[in-house]
Amino acid sequence: MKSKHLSRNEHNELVLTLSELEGEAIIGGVFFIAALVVRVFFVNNQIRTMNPDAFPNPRTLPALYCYILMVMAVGMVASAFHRRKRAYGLKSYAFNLTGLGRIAVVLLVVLGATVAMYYLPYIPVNAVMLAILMIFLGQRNKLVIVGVSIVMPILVWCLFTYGLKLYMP
Amino acid sequence: MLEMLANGVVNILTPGVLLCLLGGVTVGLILGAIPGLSATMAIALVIPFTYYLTPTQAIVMCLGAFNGGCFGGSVSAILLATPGTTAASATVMDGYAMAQKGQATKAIKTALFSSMFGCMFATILLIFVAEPIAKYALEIGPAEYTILMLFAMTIIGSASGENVFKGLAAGALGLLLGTIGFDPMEGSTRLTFGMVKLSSGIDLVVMLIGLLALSAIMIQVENHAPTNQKATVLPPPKGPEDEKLSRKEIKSLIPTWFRSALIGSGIGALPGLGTTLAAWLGYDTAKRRSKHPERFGTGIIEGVAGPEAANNAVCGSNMIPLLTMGIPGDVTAALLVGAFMLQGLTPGPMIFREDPQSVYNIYVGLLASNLILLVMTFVMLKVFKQVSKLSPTVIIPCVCMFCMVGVYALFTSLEDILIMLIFTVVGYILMKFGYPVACMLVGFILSPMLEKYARMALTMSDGHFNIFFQKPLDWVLWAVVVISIVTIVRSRVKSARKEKAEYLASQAAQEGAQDSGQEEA
Repeated sequence: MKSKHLSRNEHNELVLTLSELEGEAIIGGVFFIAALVVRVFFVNNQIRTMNPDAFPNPRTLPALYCYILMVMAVGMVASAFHRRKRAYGLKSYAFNLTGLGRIAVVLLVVLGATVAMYYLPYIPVNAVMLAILMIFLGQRNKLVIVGVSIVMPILVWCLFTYGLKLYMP
Repeated sequence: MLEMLANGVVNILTPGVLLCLLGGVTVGLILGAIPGLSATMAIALVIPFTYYLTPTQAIVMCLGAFNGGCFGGSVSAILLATPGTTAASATVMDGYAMAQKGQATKAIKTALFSSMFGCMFATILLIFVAEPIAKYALEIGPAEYTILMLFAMTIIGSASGENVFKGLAAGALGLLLGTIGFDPMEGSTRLTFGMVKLSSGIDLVVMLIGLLALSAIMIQVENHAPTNQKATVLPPPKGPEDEKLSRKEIKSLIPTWFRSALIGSGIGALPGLGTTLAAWLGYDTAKRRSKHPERFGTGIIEGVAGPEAANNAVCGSNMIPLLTMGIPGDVTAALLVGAFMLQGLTPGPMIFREDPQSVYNIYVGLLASNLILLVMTFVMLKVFKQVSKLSPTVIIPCVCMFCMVGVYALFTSLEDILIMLIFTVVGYILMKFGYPVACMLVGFILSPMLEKYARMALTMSDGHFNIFFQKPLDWVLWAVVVISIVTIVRSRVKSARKEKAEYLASQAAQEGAQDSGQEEA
């Protein structure tokens, strides 16, 4: 699939590149909408106050911060629009799509380990997590994989349990 | 005073006390270096041992742990982009960038000497001005604290980088996130969506580790191709100049050290502000006063020296409100109060009358802890250097594990780990789009303090803003805020003009080269 936004890096991984205006428009839009939603729907519903007409009250500053965020979001997009025809200092934003997949896997493994610690003890969960992450990231030396996976969780467990008197799951 | 200082030196330079100081500094250094753990935990760890020690041994051990912990956080900030303590978050900016250029040892040495200078400067200041500063601190009310917070907010503008809108947006996001939890005045919950976990707000350490540390790790994961086995996280030094600080460099750091140590001493003397704010103010001031502010963030020694001198200066000046008024400046100082009371000492104005020698032992102990810190850091430097040589396939999983464990250790809550992962994604997105995460952190740190003092002041004045202009001190502080904003705007205009001039110059040079090529043809 050919696109002006897609290319390949030196490891033949797919890279998505956005221009400065595109990037600012996306993230500025997200900030603006998020701030608007928080201000309109959540500030009054999620913040209770004894006297809503008093100044200041618990809603005052959160509302102010939402307005500032909205103004800044507009400013960001306007600034990028103003700079778009400049011949110098333009930025682009590159996302390694294969790398994003790697990130998703790493975060899922960490999340899985966190959920597993609700049911299983700390040492085996973290030993397995370390081994999976090392293998996934390309470590092939079995001695290193086994050694680090076993020694590190045990060391940390001992430090916390005997040193800090903090009991791990 | 001199006689008591001399007695203090004699009391500290005994084998038992030195051994306790050594133990405290080592524990602080190690725990401070582990992300998620902190100087506070280091003190909590050593306090049970102090029960069996003499008062002097006990107090210096705790102070050693405090000082070691404050510095220890910068080691992991430099080597792993993962601040071991919140105060080291500012050190990541240039410390990690230096490490990425093969200057990790130089960065650690810069942080070490800066920390030593900051703490020693603050301790010497403590010896001479403890009482007068404490009395002055009583004059500062909610209105003055609010203006001080507004001044601190100008850091956001300064740390924004090229695009002020991005910095201010990130700062506003941090301010908004800082409002989650209990309202400081009415006690109602805000933006918690019914989740009990969020009632006490988002913990700074959880956010810091997700936003700054784990998100930086994710960027490494994104760029790390598994086929590239020979990659190391950090390159080796290119030559001896990458490992040592030259005399010229040390001389160039002296003004930064003095400025940052003054800032840290002032911040530490005011209860409630903390080492993190001092570190960021130190970094910001170093950047603004530098002849080359555009180099900050690319890996320069001033970017490490500024925050480190400031945050360790708080170690010394934290003792000012503690010793003179019995008010702990922060959580760490509160633990020190516990250590004092275990030994039968009550910090406060009476300690100067009841047991003044203990106070001078503390002063000398703080000074001596820096020398022990110097020795221990050089001893452990080889261990630190080995960490930087490890393959990313080992470092990345281990850092993930340390981050999880460090966050879990705070409140033994697995929900904190989930919150950390959410902030990891947020931090990754912000970093990729060029948003200064530092601004979000500063906004988050300042939000509760700004709101508390602003609302207290406005409640006292029935909603009238004239409370912020009543005292002469208020006008002085407003002048400082205005000067700060003007300096930021001026530096932006200057750098924009410089960028345009450089572009036009390069265009002219290219056209000149083309014309001469055509003439020859």
